[in-house]
Amino acid sequence: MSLKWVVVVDGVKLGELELLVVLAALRLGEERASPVSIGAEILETSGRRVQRATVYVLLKRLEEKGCVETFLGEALAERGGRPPRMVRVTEEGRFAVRAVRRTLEAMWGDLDPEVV
Amino acid sequence: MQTPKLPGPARVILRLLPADDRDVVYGDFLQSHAEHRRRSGKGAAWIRTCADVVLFFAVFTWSTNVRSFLEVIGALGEVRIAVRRLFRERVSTATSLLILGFGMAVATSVFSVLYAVVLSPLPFDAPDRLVVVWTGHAREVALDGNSYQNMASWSEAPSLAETGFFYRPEFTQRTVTGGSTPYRVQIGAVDAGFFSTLGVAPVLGRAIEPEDELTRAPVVVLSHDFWLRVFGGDASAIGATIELDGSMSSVIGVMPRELSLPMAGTQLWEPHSRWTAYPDSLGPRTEDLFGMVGRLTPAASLPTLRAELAAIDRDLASSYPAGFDGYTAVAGPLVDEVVGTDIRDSIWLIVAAAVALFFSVSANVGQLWTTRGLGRAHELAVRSALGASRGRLGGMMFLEAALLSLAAAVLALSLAGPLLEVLVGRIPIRIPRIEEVGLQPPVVVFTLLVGTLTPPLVALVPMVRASFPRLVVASGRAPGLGGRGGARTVLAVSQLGLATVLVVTGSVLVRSLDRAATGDRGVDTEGAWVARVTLPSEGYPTSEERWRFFNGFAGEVGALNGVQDVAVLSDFVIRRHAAAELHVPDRDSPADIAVMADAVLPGFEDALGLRLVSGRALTTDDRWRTGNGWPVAVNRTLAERVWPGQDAVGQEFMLGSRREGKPWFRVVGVVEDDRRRGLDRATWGHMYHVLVNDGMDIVVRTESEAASLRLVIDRLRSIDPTIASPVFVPAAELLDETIALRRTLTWLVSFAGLSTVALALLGVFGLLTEGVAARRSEIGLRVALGAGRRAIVLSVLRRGMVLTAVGVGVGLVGAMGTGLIVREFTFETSAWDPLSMLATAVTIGALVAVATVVPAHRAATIDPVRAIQAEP
Repeated sequence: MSLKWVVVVDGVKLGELELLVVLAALRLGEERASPVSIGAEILETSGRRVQRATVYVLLKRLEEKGCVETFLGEALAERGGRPPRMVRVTEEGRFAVRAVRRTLEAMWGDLDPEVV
Repeated sequence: MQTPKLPGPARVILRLLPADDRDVVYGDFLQSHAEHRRRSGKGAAWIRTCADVVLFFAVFTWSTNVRSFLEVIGALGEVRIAVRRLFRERVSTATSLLILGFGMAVATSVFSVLYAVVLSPLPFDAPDRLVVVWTGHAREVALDGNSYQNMASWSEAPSLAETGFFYRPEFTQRTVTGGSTPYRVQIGAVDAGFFSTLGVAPVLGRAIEPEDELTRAPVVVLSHDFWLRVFGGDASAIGATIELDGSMSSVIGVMPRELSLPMAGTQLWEPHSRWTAYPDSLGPRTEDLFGMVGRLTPAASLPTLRAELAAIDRDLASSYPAGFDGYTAVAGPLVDEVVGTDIRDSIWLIVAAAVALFFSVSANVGQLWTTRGLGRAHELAVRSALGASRGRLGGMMFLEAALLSLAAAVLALSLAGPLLEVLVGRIPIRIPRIEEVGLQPPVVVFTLLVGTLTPPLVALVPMVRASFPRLVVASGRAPGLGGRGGARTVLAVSQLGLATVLVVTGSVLVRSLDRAATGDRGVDTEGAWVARVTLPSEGYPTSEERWRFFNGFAGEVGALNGVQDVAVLSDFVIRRHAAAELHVPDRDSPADIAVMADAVLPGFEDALGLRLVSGRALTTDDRWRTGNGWPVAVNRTLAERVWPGQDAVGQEFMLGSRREGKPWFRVVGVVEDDRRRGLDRATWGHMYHVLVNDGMDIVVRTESEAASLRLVIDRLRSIDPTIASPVFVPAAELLDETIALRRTLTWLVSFAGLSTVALALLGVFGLLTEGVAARRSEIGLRVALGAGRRAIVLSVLRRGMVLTAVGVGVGLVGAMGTGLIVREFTFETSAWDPLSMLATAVTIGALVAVATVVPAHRAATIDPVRAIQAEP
């Protein structure tokens, strides 16, 4: 899969990596989705290694677009008492990935599996 | 349990992250660091985490910066659109560009002069700590310098880290002899502290040292200019010899280009002891032979120095009641001394005029842009309907205006160079540091910044308001000009106000100049030429020899064909301050008058055209002191001030402190006053005594100038070829120099005034014309309903007159205020001169009336049928 851009409604453009981040966050659920776990989830599911910094930058961008919200989680001793940043996918985010899915499925439609 | 920590390098790097991410990321890495340790051990985990953090930081910053870079590109898109639009509206763009470019070029040139002469620091180390100390006097008798002893006392002030001094530079010139043509050079006769106080080190060789002072060593330090001119910038100049006034001096050093103290044009520096008897013998405390420079300690300020000097003065006054009577130390910044306060103040006034001109230019261009904005009302309405915010539209127009102004600023910078050359070349006065004028970096930055931002800011409110779409746009009618256009009216009124202020100021200055220039100077300059002749000291060591030379020379010149009169006197143009205080025998305190002693040869009155008021003229016999005083002549001012109501002839007086055994003078004649210093300056008391100095001014009155002057110069060369050839200048031109600053100031302020008037008229014209265009259908309706042409014309005229009345009224009130500043520059004219104000108001009113004719005519010729049909 090598999508350059996936265009979604309301003029919001969702990049390929952004899509992966939102999907990973949805898979993890808001109790577990943090930048570190999102990176791990993407690696585990798709085999793609995404830099932790990239996840941070992508999350900032998604936050500006209104697709995700972040909040500070519970401070843990193993983190030196520092709270993790947790990620929650917003309604807009869900709507966006659903639209991507619809677009892709519509495009695939009844294409011969032999062709693609 | 110990709080876990990341490796040191990782901690340092993470500290560079934005604060709101730092803690979370730190926590993330702590967690993964623990994981690494568990898996691969302490050392490997340390390396791994550090590498991860470096990578994280690199990716994070890169991504965020690339992002902002992309945003800049986005903004560039706006720029591109703005540029395209400017090109599309070529005529209005070119007009704005020219008007703005001109205004900015003027402002830039004036600012360059201000920067170079007044604002830029002197080219010395920590120049703001440099001060000069002069001698002041309780009775307003300014001394021209300080005494050696007083300087020594003042140097004790704790605020002064270092001091240096120089011998009065008007006394220190020499002739470079030994070459084929001898020529005069200006010498700075200084002590060893002079250079180190200024913080100037020689670029080559060494400076003057205390040893040179004590031994009166025949050494000279070259100015950079002299070094280049005479030695071609060769390092072997050190150790070379120069023949000065017939004796040899050896070159010990070269100073940097920037140093031109104690006087502009100083070519060589010598130890002061080559000119003076110090420090072997100390002169009286009342003498005035030295200038003093000082450097404040870092902790000190000018007020503390002044307080310390005042304390020293009190001590001196009680210890030396005879020698230090009424004198005080006056300290001021060196830069004021170098530039001169009158020139500095004049430059500030010119800058104020240029700022007003620039504002007026901005306002005019603002009017133009507003018109353009009106033309785009439809486009803007559509954009607004599509959701563009008011701020965004305003920002768009601002960007466009700023781009245009930036282009104008660049144009102005290219115009300013030639303009500066003309400006500096035409200024008929010598302004210190004027040679440093140019487009220096601060000037360029100033132009680009102020020039680019001011016009859009001035024009922003009317532009956005007039062009901002309202509901009426739907009907296709131009919005924002219901015949008024409030913000633009304010611009037009303020333009008229500024023009009024500048024209009132200009005319007050013109009247002052007229008074100062056209009055009788009391000196007959018809056909008179003046030159300075200076004798080399080696050839004429005694006063007898000097006397013989000048007396003989004057006699020979007087006998030349075509020469009508010759006068020889110490200063035809009065370059010095008045000095001495005057005592009369039966009074204890000195007379309250500034007195100047002029050395003359007999017959000077006739040659200058000065009438003898009473007594007799001086003769050669008056060279000597007789049993009852030294016979001298005085001018009328001195006679009337010192002996009011009495005959001055036969009276005796003394100059300087009476207890020092100076000679008594006896008045044998009183001559008419002259106003050689300038009509706008007070007449000093003059005492004329028969005497010659090394250097004297020769005044020659001729019938046919060129031929006769050639004969004079030839005669001088045949008498003594070692004397530098004199340069003759018309006497009238020399006297005119005293009002040159006033003339320049007047010319520049008047120019700015007339330009602002033209711009204001243009502004009013534009406003009224567009007002008529916007009210076209209304006027058509009124005509159709039976309104006469006369009433229509009157309504336009009335609007023009109301604008003028308010603008000129505001301007006159402003002129009352600026009068407080302008009065410093006036002469025999009130800064609140009612005639100037009235004339300005009437003239501007008449001009606006003329500017109203075209729009009024247009309004009157509107065809009601077509105007109403055109209404959608």
